[in-house]
Amino acid sequence: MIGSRQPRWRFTLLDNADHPLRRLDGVTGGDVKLQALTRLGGSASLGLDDRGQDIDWMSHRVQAVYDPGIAGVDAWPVMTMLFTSPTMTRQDGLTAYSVDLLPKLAVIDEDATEGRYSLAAGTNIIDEVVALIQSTGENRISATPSDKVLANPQTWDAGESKLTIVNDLLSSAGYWSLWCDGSGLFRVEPYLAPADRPVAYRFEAGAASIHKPGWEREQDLSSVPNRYVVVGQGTDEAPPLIGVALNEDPESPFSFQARGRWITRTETGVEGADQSVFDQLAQRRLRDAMSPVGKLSVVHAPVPLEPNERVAFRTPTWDADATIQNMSYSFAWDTQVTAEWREI
Amino acid sequence: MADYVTLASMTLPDGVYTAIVSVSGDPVSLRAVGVVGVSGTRSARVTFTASGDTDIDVFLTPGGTSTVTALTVIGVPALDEPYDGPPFLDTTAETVSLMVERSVDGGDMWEPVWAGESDTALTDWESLSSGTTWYRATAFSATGTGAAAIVTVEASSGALWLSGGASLARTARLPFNPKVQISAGRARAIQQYEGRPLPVAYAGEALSRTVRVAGSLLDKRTDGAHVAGLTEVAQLPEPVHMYRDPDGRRIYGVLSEVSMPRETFGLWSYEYTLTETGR
Repeated sequence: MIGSRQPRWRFTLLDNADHPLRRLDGVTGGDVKLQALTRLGGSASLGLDDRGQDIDWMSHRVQAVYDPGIAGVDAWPVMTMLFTSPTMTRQDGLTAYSVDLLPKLAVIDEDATEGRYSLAAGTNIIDEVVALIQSTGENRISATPSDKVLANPQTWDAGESKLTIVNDLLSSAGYWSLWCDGSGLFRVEPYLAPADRPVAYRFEAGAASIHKPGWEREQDLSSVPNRYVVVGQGTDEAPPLIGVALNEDPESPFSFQARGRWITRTETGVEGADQSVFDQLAQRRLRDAMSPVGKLSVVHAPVPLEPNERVAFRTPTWDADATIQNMSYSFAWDTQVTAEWREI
Repeated sequence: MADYVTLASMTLPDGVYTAIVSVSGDPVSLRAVGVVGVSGTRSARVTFTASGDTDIDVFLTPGGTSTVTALTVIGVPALDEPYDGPPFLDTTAETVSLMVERSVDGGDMWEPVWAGESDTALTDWESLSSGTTWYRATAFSATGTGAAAIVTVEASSGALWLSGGASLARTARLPFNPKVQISAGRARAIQQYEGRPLPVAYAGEALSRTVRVAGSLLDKRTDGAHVAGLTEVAQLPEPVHMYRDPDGRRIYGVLSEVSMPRETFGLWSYEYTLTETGR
């Protein structure tokens, strides 16, 4: 991955079951953004010259594969997405299309239950998730089985998105929210804390470096609170319990003494048995908020990574391990990845 | 070349010719241009265009029991002579279709020219204007078996040729020693990464080649270049033009606007750029 490259993109037209139909010719440009924290996991757009590709915009899909052109390194799929309605441009006798692409999670998101959706206590959660995905017509699923069952009955209103139901279930099982990898495979996997994830790639300055020398690190210190208020739920008879924690340590750069003003963060609707719980919770919240997460913005050569994977960043001026939040590619042959990472 | 027998070689001036090869025997097989007979005497013909003085060679596949009795190039009576070469491959299958291909690199790469039913006359507008163009005609029987014969056409035009239009059949011959500049390359980039003293090289798959041509032409219609003819070629509606030169280059591409300033009485100059594309 560190040597010279003869990179290229390959686009394949797929049917609505992800079966390859033919190579998609005439792609003139576009970009894709893969995101860890958005509901659908990203977005993309594609520019196409009309070459009689015979695209069914309503059902066909497109897969973008990046080939780094390095001996012994296989190409890998970066995204598999659905077409939306294209914008047609006619100029000088030529027809071109500009089309936004939808992640495959939209298939699950845009399907909804017709009536109230209820699950009994004891329902196997992952089996139910797989069945829900399959009920939308999607069958390319990689699911890690689990014997976890629902502890209590659960119900969703009529018209609720199946993606919401799936993600609610996955959350209760301690799984990642549903996501789709570059090949278009739905992934149902147990959540791993960032510190427990294996390092997927080491970005290291020096002879094996593949990241640009210009990168940014941002840590929002100015909004770190020095007062934290947690508010419980009151009743007609009793006011809510309130816990307050203050940072009045003169040694702390965030304290009232150091800044000369209060910066308050409030959390409401907190459940707690008594005042001591609220006080401890406020102290814990204030302590957590005093360690704002650093964000790294790095541009690097394309490597086969997926959002949420862990990377190591080693430079003479900064070392960190981080998880991938966003990755943006253009469909130019010499594209570099603009990535945003969240430090662990 | 060892698989074929040379029937004749000849040099021809500009013009359109038809070569006819006749064979006899029982059964008769003729593969000069892919027509296969089952009995009696059959002829096969191939039509070609000579640009400048053109040398042609006709080859046949050896083998079998049939014999070639005549090779005729219409308009060249001296070649209407009995053929006394070796017999060539026979077959009893009747030809139902033909495929004709072209090679401009000595047979390494073959381009499809035409495919259809047998017994047809073919005019090829994309042969080299200078150098040897090979034609391979493959005859297919109803059972799917095929047999091929190769004909070569030698051309030696000293002019540049700019072609366009349907089948690239509209041509402008550009003599008078024009200036030619060819620029060629591949998409390349470098990326600098942290801690590496030298950048990393990237090479794309996009190739670029442009031909810039500048020369002189006349304002009156002649056999060579003239303003009206070049204007007509420049304004053809088809997107692809073709450049051919005396060095045997043949480049397809998109033609720029052709600039034609007047130089002096009766003499004009011209300049254009052709950017290579797929055919």
